[in-house]
Amino acid sequence: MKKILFVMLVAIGFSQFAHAQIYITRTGYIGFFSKTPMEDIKAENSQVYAVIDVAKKNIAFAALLKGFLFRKQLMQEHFNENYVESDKYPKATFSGTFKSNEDVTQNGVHNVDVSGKISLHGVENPVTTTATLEMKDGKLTGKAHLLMVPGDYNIQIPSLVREKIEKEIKVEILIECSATK
Amino acid sequence: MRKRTIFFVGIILCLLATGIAYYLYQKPRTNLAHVSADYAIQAPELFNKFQQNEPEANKQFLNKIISVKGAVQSVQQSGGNTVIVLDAGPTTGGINCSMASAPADVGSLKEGDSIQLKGRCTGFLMDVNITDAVIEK
Repeated sequence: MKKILFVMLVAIGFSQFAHAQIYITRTGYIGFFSKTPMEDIKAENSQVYAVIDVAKKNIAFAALLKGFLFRKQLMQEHFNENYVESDKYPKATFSGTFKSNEDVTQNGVHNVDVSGKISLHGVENPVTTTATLEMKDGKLTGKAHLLMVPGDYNIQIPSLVREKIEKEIKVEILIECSATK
Repeated sequence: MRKRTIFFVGIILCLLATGIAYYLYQKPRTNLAHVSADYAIQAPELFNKFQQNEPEANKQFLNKIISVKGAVQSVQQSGGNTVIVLDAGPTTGGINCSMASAPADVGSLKEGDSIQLKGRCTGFLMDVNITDAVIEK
C-alpha cells in the first residue's frame, strides 16, 4: 500500500519534468453491483485515487473500502465488518500497465488492454481487462467493467445470504483524470 | 381460554419481531444532518494528525462524525456524486469530502471559499476521506 502512495508521490514529483504525461484524479468512481431475484445490491465510491502515466503506460488505483456507500445501513455495516473487514484491511489497490496500438495522447477514444494486480482483503490477484481511455482537451477519462469473485479474495459469503448475492460481482470503473500541473 | 391468549400473544410477538427486523434491514444509511459531530477541527490540523501518525489518528477519528472547517480547493461533480476537496495547507493532500447530496449552492462555490462540512471519517489515502458530508455553513 505504501508503495502505491509512493508511486503517486513520485508521479506528482516527476510531473515537474514530464509535462502533461501524468494524469491523476482524487475523485474517481468505482461501483459494484449484484442483482438477484431476491436482492439488488449497489455500492458506490466516488473518492477513488487514480494515476495514469501515459509515457510509461502505468496505471494505479487506490480506494478506501469504507468509502463504498450502500443504500441500506445494515448492508454497509455487514460489508465492512464481515466481508471485507475494513478495519483490518482499509484499502483496495490496483497497479498495472496498459497496452494500446493507438497513441492515447491524441484526442479521441482509445481501446486499451489493462493488466495488473488487485489487492483486496489481504489477497493479491492478477487481473486483465479491456478498457477505454478517452483523451479530450487535456483530460483523460478511463472506463472499464470487470467481474470479481468474492471467494478469490478470501471473502466468505454466509450460506444464509448466498442466494441474495451473485457469484460474480460486476464492477464499474470511471475515472476522469487531469494532467498534473 | 388461557391457551388461546398465549397463542395470540405469541403471534403478536412474532409479527412485532418480523416488523422490527424488516425495519432494521430496510433502514437507509444515516443522514448526518441531524447528528451532532464528535469533533470540530480545522482542515490543516486534521490533515496533519493523519500525516504525522496515521494509526493514532485512525483510532481517534475513524468512523466518527467530524465537523471540518477549511477553504475549498476543488469541487467535482460527476454522475450525481459531488466531491468537495478542502485545502490542508502547503501539501499535495487535503480533505476529500463526498457529499450526501449536491448542495443547492454548489455552483457558486469557488476555490478559496471558506466552508464548514460535517461527515463521517473513512480514513486516509493521500487525503483524509470523509463521506456523507453535509454543509454546515
